[in-house]
Amino acid sequence: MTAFIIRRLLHGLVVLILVTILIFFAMRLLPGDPLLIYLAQRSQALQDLPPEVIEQLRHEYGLDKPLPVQYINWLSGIFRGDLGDSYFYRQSVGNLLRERFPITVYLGILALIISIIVGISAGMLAAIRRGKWLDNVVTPLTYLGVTIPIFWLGILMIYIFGLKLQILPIAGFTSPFVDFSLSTRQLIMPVICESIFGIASNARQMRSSMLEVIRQDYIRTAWSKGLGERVVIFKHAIKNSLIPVITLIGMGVSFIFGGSVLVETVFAIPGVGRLFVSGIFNHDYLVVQGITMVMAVVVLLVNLIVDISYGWLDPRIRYG
Amino acid sequence: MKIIYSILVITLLLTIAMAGCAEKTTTPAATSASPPASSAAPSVTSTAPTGPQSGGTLRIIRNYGVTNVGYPPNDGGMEQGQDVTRRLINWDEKGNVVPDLAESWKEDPVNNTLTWNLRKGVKFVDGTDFNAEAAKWNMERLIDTKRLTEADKVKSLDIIDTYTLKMSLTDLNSQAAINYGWVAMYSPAAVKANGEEWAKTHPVGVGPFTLVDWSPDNFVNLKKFDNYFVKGTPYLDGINFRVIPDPVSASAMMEAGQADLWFDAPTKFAADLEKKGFKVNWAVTGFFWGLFANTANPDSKWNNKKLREALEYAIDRPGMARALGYGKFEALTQVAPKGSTGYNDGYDPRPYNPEKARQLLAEAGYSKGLQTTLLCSAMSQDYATAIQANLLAVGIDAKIDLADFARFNSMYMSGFFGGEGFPELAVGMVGIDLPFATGLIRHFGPTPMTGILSINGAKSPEFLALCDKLYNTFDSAELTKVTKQSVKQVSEDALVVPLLKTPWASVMAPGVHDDSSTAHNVVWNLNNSWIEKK
Repeated sequence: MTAFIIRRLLHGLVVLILVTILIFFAMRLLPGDPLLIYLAQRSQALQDLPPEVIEQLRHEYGLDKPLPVQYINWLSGIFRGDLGDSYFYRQSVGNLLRERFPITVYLGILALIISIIVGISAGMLAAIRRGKWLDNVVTPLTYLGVTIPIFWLGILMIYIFGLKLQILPIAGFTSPFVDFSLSTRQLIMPVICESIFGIASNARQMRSSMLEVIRQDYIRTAWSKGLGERVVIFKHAIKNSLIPVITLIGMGVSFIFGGSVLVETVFAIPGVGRLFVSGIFNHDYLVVQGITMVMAVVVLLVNLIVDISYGWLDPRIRYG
Repeated sequence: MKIIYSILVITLLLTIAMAGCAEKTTTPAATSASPPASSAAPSVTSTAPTGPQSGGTLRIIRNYGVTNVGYPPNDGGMEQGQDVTRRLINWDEKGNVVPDLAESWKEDPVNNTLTWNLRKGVKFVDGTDFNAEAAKWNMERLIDTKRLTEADKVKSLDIIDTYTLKMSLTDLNSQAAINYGWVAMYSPAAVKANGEEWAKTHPVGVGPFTLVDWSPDNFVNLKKFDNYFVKGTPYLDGINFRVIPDPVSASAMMEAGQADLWFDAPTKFAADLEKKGFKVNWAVTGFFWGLFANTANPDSKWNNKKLREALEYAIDRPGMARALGYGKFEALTQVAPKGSTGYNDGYDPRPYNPEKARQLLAEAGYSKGLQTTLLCSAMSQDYATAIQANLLAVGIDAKIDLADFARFNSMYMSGFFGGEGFPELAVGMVGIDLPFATGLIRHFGPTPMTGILSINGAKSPEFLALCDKLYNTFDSAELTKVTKQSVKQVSEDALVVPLLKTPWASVMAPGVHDDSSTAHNVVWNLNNSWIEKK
C-alpha cells in the first residue's frame, strides 16, 4: 500500500509539472496584453493612466522578462510558497486564494455531502422498489437532474424563492462564523444548484449498481436464510454497490470546482470560481496559474483517496 | 406509470410557464430576507419629503469591482475616490470644474505656475490636518510612482504657506487643473505610522465615509465620518456596496427589495425596471460609440476621405438607436452628445443617405463596392451586425471580426504602445468626459490617452491646431467655443463615424435620493444621498 501511494504521488508530481507548463504557456498564447486590459478598465473618464505606467507595471510584474525566465521565476516562487502577485487585484495570489478557496470548498463540501446522501439514498430506494411508484418518480427526476443547466436552474430558483416567494436572499455570501442563519439561507439555492448534477448521477449509478448486486447469489442466499430487508441491503448489498459510485464521487469533486464558476457568478459568491473567470477575462496570468495548480493538487489527492478506498470497500483489490 | 409521467410533464410545464409569464410588478416590495448590513428598508410608498433625512445604510449593487482599496499606487475605484476621500476639484452636473478640497486655484500661463488655495479646517479620519504639506505628499507620491497624468511637466511643488501649494510647470495648459486637481488625498501621517503594506488596504481619507471592511469582488462597507468638512452631511449612517456580476440576479434583488440602488445598470435592465416604477437616473454622459477606420497605415484605403464619408452616409444611426437602445440610446450626428458643451445645435453633416454613399464610393473608385473587415467585441457585436447590414446595402462587404476583450483592446488601443492597431474598421467606444474638452483631447487629440492611434492619419492640421488651442485656452466661454469648433472639425475630417451614445443608468428603489449618474459616472456625491424613513 505504501509503495502504491508513493508511486501515485510521484505520478501526481509529473502531472502537476505538466499542468504548470501547459497552463503557463497556454495563457500566454492568448492574444491580448493583460496590462492593456488593466488600462482599459482604468481609463474610464478622468482616471486615465499615462502610458509610462504601462512600462512601469510591466517591469513591476516581471512581464518584460523572456517567457522561460518568467516560468522559472514562477515555479521557484511556488517552492518558496509565493504564487506571485495579481495584476488586477494588486495583492498576492496566495492571499486571494486564502480568502476565496475556503468559500468554494465550503460550498463544494456541502454540495458533495448532499449529493452523496440524497443521491445514494434515492438510487438505493429506486433499485429496491424497482418498477414501483418510487422508482417511477426518482428515475425520471434523475434524467432531469443530469440534463438541467445549472445557470438556468439558478435563475429559476432566484425567480421563485427570491423574487416571488421572497423567502431566501437572492445573492451574496456571508461567513457562517459571522451570521450562521443568514449564511445558511444564502447558501440554500447555490448548494442545490451545485449538487443537483451529483444527486442525479449518483442516484442513477447507485440504482443500476444496486440492481446488479441484489441479483447476485450471495444476496439470494441472504434472503433464503430469512434475513430481513434492512440487514440484506445494509449489511450485504450496499458496500459492493458503492464501488462504482465512489468513482463517480471522485469525479464529482472536479465537477464541483467546474460548476462553482457558474453558481458563484449567478449567486454573487466570491469564491475561486469567480476569481478564475475574472483571471481569464483579465489575463491575470498568475491568478489563473495559481488556481489551476491548487485545483490540480486537490483533484489528484481526491483521486488517490478514491483509489485507496477501493481496497477498503473490496478487500479482494490489491495494490501491486 | 403514464399518470405519473403526465403529472411530471405538467409540473415541469407549469414551472416554465410561471417563469415565463412574469407578473408586471409596479412597485418593489419590501423583503424579509435581508443581506448583511441591510438598510432601513426604503418605504414602498414614497412620502413627500420635506428635506434630506438622516440615517440608514444604503445598499448599492455594482456589477463589477471592487478589486482593491488603499493608497496610490494601490488605490481603489470610484467608491473610494469619492467617498473615503476627496480631491482638490470636482465637477458639477453641467461639467463645470468646481472647488472641493481646493477653495480656489490660480493659473499663471506666463510663469507656468498653478497655485492651489486649500480649504481650511479639513481633517483626515485619523484626526490629522489636511494642508499644503499633505497635498504635496500625495502629489509627490503619484509622481514617484508614475501615476500622475502629465507628471513630466511638474518642475517643483512649493509650499507657500500652510494652505497654499504652488506647482511650477514646464508648460501650463488648460487641462492642468483637471489633471493635477484630480489627485485623491490621503493621510500622510497614517501611512508613515503604519507602513506601506498596511496602507495598501487601509485608506485614511477626508471623505464623508470611512472604510469598515471589504472583501474583493464581494462587498465594501463604509460608515459615516462625523467630522466630514461639509457640515450636516453625510445623511447616511453607512453604505454597503455589493458586487453582483449577473444582471438578472441584480435586477431580481432590486425588485425583491434586497438592494436600494443599482449603479451602472445595463440599459435593458434599467429600462425594464423603470417601466416597473423604479426611478432611474439617465446620465448626460455614458459611452460614445463610433466607427473607426484605420488611417494610420499610409497604404490603407481609408485614407481616402470620400470612403470615410461614404461610411457615415451609409449607416442608419436613428434606426440603430431605435432597434438596439430600448428608447434610451441617442443617435449621434457629431462626436458630442446633446447636452454636452461640445454639442453644435442642428449640426448633422452626413445624415443617412445610401444613395449618396454609393455615389461617394464610385467617386473614390469603388463603384463595384469593396471588401473590408470590421473589428468588434462582444459589447459591440450587435452594433457591428447592424453596421454590416447597412454597409452591404451600399456595396461595402464588411466581414465581422469578433474578438475577445483582450484581443479587441490590444488592437483597438494598441497604437499608443507600438502595436499594429486594427487593420481596417473597428466599432468601439470611449467614455464621454465632463468637461467635454477634456474628453475630446483625451480620446481624439494628437496623442489620445485611450490609445486609439489607428485613426491618426485623418487628423487634419486644422484639427491639430484646434487641439492645441484647446490646450491653451483658459477662458471658459472661449473654451466652449473652441470645443464646438473642434467637434465640427472632427466631422469635417471624417475622423470617426459617430454612432450612438449609450447612457449610464442608476436604478433607485422608492424613497432613495441619490445623484449618481446625473452628472458623471466619476462624480458621485454620496454625502448628499439619503433614504426616506418609513
